[in-house]
Amino acid sequence: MGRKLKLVGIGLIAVLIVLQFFQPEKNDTPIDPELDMLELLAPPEPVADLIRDACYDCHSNQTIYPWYNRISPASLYLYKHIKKGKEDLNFSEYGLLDKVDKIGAFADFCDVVDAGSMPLQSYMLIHKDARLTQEERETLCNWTEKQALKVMRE
Amino acid sequence: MKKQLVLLLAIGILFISFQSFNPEPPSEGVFPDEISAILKSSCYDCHTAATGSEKSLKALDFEQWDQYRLTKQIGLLGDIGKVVEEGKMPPGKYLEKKPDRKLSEAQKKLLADWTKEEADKLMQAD
Repeated sequence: MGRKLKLVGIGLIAVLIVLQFFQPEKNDTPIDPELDMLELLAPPEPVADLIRDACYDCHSNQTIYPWYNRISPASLYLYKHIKKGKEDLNFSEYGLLDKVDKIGAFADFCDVVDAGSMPLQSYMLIHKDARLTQEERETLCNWTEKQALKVMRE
Repeated sequence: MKKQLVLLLAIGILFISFQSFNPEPPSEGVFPDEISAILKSSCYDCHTAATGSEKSLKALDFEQWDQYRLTKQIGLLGDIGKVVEEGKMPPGKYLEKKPDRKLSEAQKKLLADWTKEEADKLMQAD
């Protein structure tokens, strides 16, 4: 019994070691100021800070990684989240969206922040800066609604 | 006698003003008939409260259409057009069970064109 357990333990460690050689690609493309939402719209500094701190890790081309991203399978977990986040909305490619999608993105932005479904709980657990207060959520919502209406009138 | 007249007048005004609060039945006449028919057969199973899941209703609840604010409606129209054109909706799993609900190319085009026209219209409406 003891020997079997030891073997399983060694096997597991071996798998973990091998896993370290398979690190996913990092989300690290230079920001294009012609396309990036914060660059293009230049919101007031407090709003820009909130969006950068609470959203940009998964919704832009530039993730600021935590230390444990060096370790697989944590890195794989982050990779998947970021990929999904960017598929839903990538602020670094905001400039590529058509008018309707820009309006929709801002409306959805406000809704998920207001409903508390974003930022994700798991993300806020680690990232203190992303824990938005009710007031900050309202600030974001007010700003995004204004932007949506502005795009509409363009 | 004068008092009675004032009272009668007041009732009359009240009565007339109530007429403008006559609520329209929900989602009846919101969309053109042709579009309504397609939505009913291919979308409403999941995107209306009677049979829809929490997840699909959160994404879009057609019965709440009037309650969505303008910016949300525009965004949703964009989403509808996209998922229909890309064939993401109705989802494959649903069509396995109800293959007759699959959208024909003509229906897809009709829906997609309508979402664009309607979104344009709403953007002008403001």
